[in-house]
Amino acid sequence: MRTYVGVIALSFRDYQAYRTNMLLRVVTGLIGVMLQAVVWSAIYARRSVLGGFTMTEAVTYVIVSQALMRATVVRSGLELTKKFRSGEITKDLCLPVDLQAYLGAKDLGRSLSASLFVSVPMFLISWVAFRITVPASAGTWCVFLLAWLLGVVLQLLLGFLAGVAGIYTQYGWGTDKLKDAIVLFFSGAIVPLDFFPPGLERLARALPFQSAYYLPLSIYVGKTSLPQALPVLGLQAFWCITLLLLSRVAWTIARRRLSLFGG
Amino acid sequence: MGEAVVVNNLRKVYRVRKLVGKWPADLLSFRWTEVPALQQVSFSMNSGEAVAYVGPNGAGKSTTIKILAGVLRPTEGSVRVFGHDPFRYRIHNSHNIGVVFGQRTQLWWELPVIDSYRMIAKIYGVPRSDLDKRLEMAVDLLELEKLLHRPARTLSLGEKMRAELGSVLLHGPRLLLLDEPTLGVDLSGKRRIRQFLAHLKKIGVTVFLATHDLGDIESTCDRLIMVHQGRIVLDGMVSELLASFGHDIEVRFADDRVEGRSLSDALGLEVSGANGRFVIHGKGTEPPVSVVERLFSLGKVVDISVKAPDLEFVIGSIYDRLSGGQSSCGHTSG
Repeated sequence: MRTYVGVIALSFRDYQAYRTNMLLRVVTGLIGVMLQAVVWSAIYARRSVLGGFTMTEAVTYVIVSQALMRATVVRSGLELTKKFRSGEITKDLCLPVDLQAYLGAKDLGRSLSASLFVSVPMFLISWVAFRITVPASAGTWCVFLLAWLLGVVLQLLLGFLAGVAGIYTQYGWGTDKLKDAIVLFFSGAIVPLDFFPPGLERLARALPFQSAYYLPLSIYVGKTSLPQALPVLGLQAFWCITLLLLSRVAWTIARRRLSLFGG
Repeated sequence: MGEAVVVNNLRKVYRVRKLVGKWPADLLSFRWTEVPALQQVSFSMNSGEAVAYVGPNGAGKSTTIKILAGVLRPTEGSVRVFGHDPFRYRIHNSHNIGVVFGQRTQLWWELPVIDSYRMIAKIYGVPRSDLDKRLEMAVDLLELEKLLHRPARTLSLGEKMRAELGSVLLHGPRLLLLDEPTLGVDLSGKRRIRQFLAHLKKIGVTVFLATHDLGDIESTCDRLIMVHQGRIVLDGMVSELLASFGHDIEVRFADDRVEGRSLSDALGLEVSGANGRFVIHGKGTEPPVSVVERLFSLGKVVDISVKAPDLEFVIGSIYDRLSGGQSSCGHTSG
């Protein structure tokens, strides 16, 4: 465990190697925020409530979502496929670590770095510029952050699974982008699930992806009250455990494949 | 002493996907073919031994190292490293071994080398006091002090390899598996790397060195195993191997009428040259001193020199013999 904490800390610093790059990420992020603000102001021009969201709630939802999207850096899947292809995986398998945990810890470090140096500035600027709302109680903040963390873990697991799938397609870019597209659509990162057509909404709620953005953000904007949050956290944990088991099986099979095809 | 490595009847087969036909049919159809990488490979290494593992490209050297490291599972046969199956107990095994693949690095690209070292030490759970001691040794032997605070990406190839070698020392491995550690490294870099390996051998680390560089072998290894097309074709002491090839003796007689033919008959050895100047190709069975003595009895000798066979020649001739003397894969580079 101390090993992985060390990996997180090192990766946290590694990600900050290029400061200008960090600054540019903040700028890019803010452009996305502005785009969302413009679109949603237009949508709400002639109504005050849509899908149960007031304009302030909707704008807060999508802007915080933009900040959260910049905070999640999932590279482990693509890294896994690339390492598999280049044979670099051989070196990693010589280390006394579990490869999934090791790659996951690296991503956590990166995500922490991005959260602190990209998302927090984005959030603060948006807070001043677009007057988004902020949860009043410390309890809501805590539960939101916990739900968000479970969402990150879920995204790491999905990333790893996409990486293992990439081993089979031999070129990881396709599976990783497919995963990104599915998550972007079904997680409610761009549009809250409440705005989906009923059939699609039901589907999205049955899938694990809502854990990544919709569930934490619902807590943030107050659509999920604190007493309602407990089953939500339970659902998120359920999906994390399920995907964890799935990824362990997939990885065992992939290691056998590595053995069959050479490094 | 115990046995560090025991490999028994190891076989490793890779599956390779082959595209069939011409475009666009080849987009959809392919066939699997099995390619044997290692066959009936058996050998063992005692603790503290330094063994060179040589063979032409594609002979199966890297495959063997990956299997010993627990990265790949053998198709058949048994492999034990310090008594354990390395594939099954990969994580346990990794504490005992240090692995270096030429051209591949475990160092973190953006971070100063020293930070990578601390990280690696943390991953292996190395206590602080041990780390300091080993770090000092690595810095000393590999002359790393100037490299430690530079990011890995700014290091030259030779520097990177030295930094990499330093990194595998930190957890105090009992067995080093090296896959061409001096590949592309300049002369002074090679010298440092060889000093480093010699020192590790002295302190009792077992060394398994796959290389094309015969200088590496001469400076480090006592024993040599040669693989060819996945099979072991030679396993013996370097000194015995050299001795078995015999010396070349260059001789000049005062009398330039001495004939090569009669010399050859008298000595029972192969002789080349003419006009009183000859090269006698000794056999490993007779010590060169005795050949020299016999030469002196055959006529007045003006000049004589004995040339020991070098490893390049010996291994080159074995490769030539293995490939029927016509393929170029037996070429060795110095």
